[in-house]
Amino acid sequence: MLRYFFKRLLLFAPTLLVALVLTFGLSRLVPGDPVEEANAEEFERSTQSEAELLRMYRSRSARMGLDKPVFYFAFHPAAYPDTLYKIPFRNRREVLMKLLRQNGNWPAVEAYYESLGQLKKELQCMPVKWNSVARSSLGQVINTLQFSNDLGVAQLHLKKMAALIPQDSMLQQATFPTYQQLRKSYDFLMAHPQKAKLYRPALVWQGFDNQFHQTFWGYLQGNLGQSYEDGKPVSAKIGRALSWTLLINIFALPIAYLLAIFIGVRMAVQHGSKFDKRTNAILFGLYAMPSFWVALVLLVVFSNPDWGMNFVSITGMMDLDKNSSWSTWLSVSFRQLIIPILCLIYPAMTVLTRQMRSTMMVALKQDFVRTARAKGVGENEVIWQHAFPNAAFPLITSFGSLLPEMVAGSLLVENIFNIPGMGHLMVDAMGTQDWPVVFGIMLLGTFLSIVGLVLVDLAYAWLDPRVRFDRSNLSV
Amino acid sequence: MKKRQGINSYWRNVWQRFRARSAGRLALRSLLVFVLIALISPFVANERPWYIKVDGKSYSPLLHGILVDLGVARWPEVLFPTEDWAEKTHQGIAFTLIPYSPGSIDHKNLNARGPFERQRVESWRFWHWLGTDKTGRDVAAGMLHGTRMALWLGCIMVGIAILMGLFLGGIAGYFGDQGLIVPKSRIWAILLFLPFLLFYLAYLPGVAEGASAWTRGSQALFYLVVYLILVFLLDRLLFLLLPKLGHYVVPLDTLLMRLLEVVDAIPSIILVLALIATLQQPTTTYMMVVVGIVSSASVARFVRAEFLKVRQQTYMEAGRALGFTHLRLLFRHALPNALGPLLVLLSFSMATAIVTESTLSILGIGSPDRVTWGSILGELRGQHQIEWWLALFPGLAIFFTVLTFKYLSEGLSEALGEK
Amino acid sequence: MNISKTVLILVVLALATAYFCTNAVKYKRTGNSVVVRMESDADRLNTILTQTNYGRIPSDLAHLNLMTYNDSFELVPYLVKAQPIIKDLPNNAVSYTFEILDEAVWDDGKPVTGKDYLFTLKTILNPKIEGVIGPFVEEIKDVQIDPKNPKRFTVVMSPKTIYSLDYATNSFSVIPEHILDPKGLMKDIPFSDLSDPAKAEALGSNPKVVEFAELFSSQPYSNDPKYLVGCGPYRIESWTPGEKIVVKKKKDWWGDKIVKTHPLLTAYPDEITFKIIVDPAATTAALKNEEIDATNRLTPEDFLDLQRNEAVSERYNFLSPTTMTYFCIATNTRNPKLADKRVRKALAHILDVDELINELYLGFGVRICSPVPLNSPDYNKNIKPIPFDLNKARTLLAEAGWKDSNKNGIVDKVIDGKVTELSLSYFYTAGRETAQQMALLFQDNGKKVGIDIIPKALPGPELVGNWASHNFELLSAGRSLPHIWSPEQTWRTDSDNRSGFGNAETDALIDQIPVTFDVKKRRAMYHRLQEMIFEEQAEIFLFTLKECVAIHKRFEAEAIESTPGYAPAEFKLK
Repeated sequence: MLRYFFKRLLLFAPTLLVALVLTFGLSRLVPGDPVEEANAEEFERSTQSEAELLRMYRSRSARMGLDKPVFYFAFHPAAYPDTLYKIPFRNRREVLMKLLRQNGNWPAVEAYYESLGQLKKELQCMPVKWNSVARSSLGQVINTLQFSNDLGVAQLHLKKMAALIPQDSMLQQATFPTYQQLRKSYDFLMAHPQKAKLYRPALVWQGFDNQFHQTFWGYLQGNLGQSYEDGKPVSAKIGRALSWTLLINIFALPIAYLLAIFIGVRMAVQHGSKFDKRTNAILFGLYAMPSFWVALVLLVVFSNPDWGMNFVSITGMMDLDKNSSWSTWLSVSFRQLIIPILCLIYPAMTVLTRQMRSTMMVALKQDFVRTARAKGVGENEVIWQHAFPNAAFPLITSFGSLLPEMVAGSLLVENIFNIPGMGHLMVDAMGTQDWPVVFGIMLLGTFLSIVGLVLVDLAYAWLDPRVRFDRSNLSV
Repeated sequence: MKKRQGINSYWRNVWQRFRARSAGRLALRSLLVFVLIALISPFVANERPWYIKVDGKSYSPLLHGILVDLGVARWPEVLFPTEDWAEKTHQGIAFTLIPYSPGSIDHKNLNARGPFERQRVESWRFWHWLGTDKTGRDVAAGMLHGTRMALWLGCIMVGIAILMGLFLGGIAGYFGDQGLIVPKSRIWAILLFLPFLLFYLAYLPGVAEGASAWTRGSQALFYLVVYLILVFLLDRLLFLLLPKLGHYVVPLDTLLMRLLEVVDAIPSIILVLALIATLQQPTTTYMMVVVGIVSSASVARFVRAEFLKVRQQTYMEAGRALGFTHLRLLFRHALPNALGPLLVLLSFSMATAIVTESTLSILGIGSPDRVTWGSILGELRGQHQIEWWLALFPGLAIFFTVLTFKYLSEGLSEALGEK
Repeated sequence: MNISKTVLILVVLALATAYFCTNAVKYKRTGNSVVVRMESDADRLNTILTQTNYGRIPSDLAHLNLMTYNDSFELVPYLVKAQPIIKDLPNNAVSYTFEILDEAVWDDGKPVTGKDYLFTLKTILNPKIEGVIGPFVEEIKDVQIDPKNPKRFTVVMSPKTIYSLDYATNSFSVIPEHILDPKGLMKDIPFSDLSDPAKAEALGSNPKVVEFAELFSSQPYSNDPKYLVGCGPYRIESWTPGEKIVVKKKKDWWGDKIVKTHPLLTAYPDEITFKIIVDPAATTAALKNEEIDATNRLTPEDFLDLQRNEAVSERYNFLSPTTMTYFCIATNTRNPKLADKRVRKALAHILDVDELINELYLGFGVRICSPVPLNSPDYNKNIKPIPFDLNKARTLLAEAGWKDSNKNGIVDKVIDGKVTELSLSYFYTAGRETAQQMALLFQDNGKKVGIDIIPKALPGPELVGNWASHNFELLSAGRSLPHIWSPEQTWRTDSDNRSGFGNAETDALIDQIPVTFDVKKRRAMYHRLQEMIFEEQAEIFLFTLKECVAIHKRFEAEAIESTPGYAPAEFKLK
């Protein structure tokens, strides 16, 4: 048994590893710059001076471990710089990349962009009391140029600058050398394009100190990173939410199974009877009813004080203190959880019942059942001791697929009934772009459903020794 | 000729068995009603009137508007501005049954007015029979348009799921683990040039800034063709140089099953949400594409199983013995036999698609760029006073559509003699 | 006899009614401790490091700034004895001399001195500590402590501007050196090195600086009440993450002795609990069950609903002060389609702001015409808002040359030889229902005058990113209003200048304002600048929202403008 267990585990390990890699990949595909997102408020509140912004960005990205290359190696055009990930701010990165794609000469593009920034800094540093039309217009032009990604248009603006600067002696004195440098770097850029480099691939080794390495080991050690929202560890946030999700599922799953077994078996035994037909129709109706809608309708009906049925509360649980008494705990959680649990039970129950019915019907027609009956075994014993154990196998299998489905179901129910579980956290995190939480939940969900699959396998092997010894059965 | 007839009679048989059951008939009729509503909805609920008479001349803004939207025609001068038709000076006007488009805003009835609440309308003609939503949009118009959207989005999702699933499951199921035998030289050639193909496909569209989708597409096609030519040449060369290189057996089936295992391990709704998070523009259509990709896993699994079953059958062996090509065997023989069960799955997936779209809308995922049943339901979110008309009508619509598709799949599978 | 009997009965009745009336409401909540709802948990409670208001509000109760703003937008003494002695120095510098209140002591009885102030500054400027206050204190060049009287110290700032005093006194709270830096790690680091960015960079490798930064950034310094002490009236008692933060009034707090002469030091409640209730529905339930004493951020619907609910309204006062934030639609004047000011004015005409306020916010908003707090004397009240007028918008567009030449319902114009349709993308923050509704209404009105507005929801940070890099056409923006309007960042041509409007005159005004110390002259300049900006409509100012606040009736309390809309320390039992 133990050997079998380890074999199964070994089989699932690669799946988990691939899921980890997939999660990392997806988390890097998300649009937007994580550094900007995690610190959006701070950036907005800062003085927005050039130097301040750059300093802030660098320190924040270092703290988040994002000042490192993404992967062990990179495969990109030879024209691209090796330090692309180090350029602060997504928008500037994009402008620079667009310039680079028109020209291909990275050092020249960088020099041009840097001298543009230098010009802006110098303009900002000019004495406060010196104002002129030329200065204001120059400011405008630089601002436009900084975010313009068309080298052709840039030339027009540079010409405008050349006309503006001599209009004002102070301006000339303060900015002309830098302007000349800018002009020179622009001319150099235009004279030395290296477009061929854009078409030549380059394979760059980036070393082990990279984001993937770090994050992957973090995942393996159970470290899911820190939330962008409040900087708290993701695992702590998920842990708190998980307890809620588990709580409602611990009630929902066994009840769904019990109901399904009893109704399903009865339907199979009384196959073709009025009970069978009616229940079948009801089950089909329930099966077609989307659970979110049922949840919404129940919520409307049972939480409306005008109709005198404000039996359900969607708020109580948050107000419970650790020191409130047992009875209040029970009554409050009952009031808040009963309907969500119902909404989780019924979809699972309908599927399971229909399955139970059909497998039981097959089982009842088997030879050994007939033999048992012929031997004069009581009807109840025939059903529960002979037919049922054989019909129950598919129910165990569906546990594996039901577990992730329940997680999905709780996602909706938790959001509608305001239960602070994983689904609620996930949707909230999607709304606030808190990606570490989103992908943390994805990993945990994967892990849980793999655990579910392993459990199913074990249960199978425990109940049916044939599985344990059959080698060919090992591959799924 | 004879074979054709055989297939035809098989389907006729299925059709008769399907029609014999009242549930199947009912489902089919109800589906037809939905399709009909989807087709005529723009002519039932539209802010543009059927007919208007201005300065003695008659116009049909509704029909004309369709031409203008297509870019074929222009609006006549007298009709400007082409908004607020009721407030124009006219000699006669005839509105559609519901004089609102799904997106038109009634500024006088903002903030969700119920059908029985006081509405500020000029006459009963403009009454919102199913109320308005928070932005003053007519719920009835939204419901009609929602039918259109539901079917359209369902088709997108199911289409993608079926195409991808058929492809993946089909090749895995057909070839199995031993069926695909490729010369080593070809595999090497493919693997050698693959990084370059990916490189050019990934980076070069960026170089041509502002190029149209057409040029980009033809560029990609060009790279693909060059790639194939290179692979072919290298393959030939290697074959000439090292003729005794041997073959690899590609375990396609195992590869696919491993992939499906990973996808299955991630709870599907969470995978969908995570994938949506990576979208630049999470519009409803893109979201359904994502859902389609995720659900293609189950289609692939199903198709694989069907193909494996078909593979064992004698006529396939006969076909192989006769020397038919892989493709011919796949499309002419394996596919038609797997078609029936596939139809069942398709109908079932339609129901899932509609539910998934509504679920995402209710959760407030993605950007609500279109009025769908789900988006009307989604307006309930975060409200402490629940507007029942926003819950009831779209909910009923979803319930009946889902019921229809599920009955359809049930009826089909029984007619096909499954179970 | 009869009459007297009637009179007697009447009197008894009257007394009885009076008795029942006064006692009709039996509060469930009594006593002098306050429970306040907070809609989100604090990030950390370290007053220097916290980045959110949720961290700032509780920690501010434990700390004091040197000076603070009163209701008429003036800086007044708080922890210091009086207004500082101001001395102009050469090279455009200025010095302020303060003296901290004699009574001011830390919890262990040690006096609050200039050394603590200096230590606070050094902490903020420590290059290895990430705070948000840094930029504000960079203009402080030197701190000189009077050797005879450590409570007296002089702050030298350069350049001298109207913000200098605010930066030096109100942008941070004073923290105790002897408790937070017992080893004296920062003592020997000269202040002049820290305040010079170039030298500060080098200090980043100084082991003492690093050690202190690590100590100060460690968890206990952000959540252990032992290290969260200040000289304010309250002590942070406990913090249960996700649930509540409790602060307790200090016994025999020094401020209580002088509160008569220093009314700003008032602190009534014995205990204040910040209960974290995220959900709006849960908040209304808490109010109905009388479980909290005060809350802000009620949704307008809930606010009106609760106000109508008798059981609630007899227990709570409902207040709606204006907030220090405003909404506007930023336009990108660099875009050729928006370069003409008449187009921007037409856009302003198609925005039915009153409808937005009344329908989307149920009346909880006030129109504004410039980015200055409404009640501030700097606000130019002569500017009249642009009315909703579709015909005017049509005329303006026609004047600017936009006509529907191809008869597709959208106006167009030849720009740079190309026929351009007036179709404008409009970015708004995703996930906010009202923002989406506003976008739809804007789009709808645009259609009526032939402007094709394409709403697009973007996640918050992406919206800001696009805004900052001028990558937008129209964009719905919300900004906070500081006590003193500083237009440099937004409107100077060579700074951030996202809308792209600015000319030599505005630049001159913007440069002059910070160095004009004559209030009247400055106000005139402020007003002129507002007029010029309004005339251009580069940002279409819409409205400032009203906060929806409920406060329990057993307290005498007033609403305030800054977040959260009330001051819990000033809740006085009736």
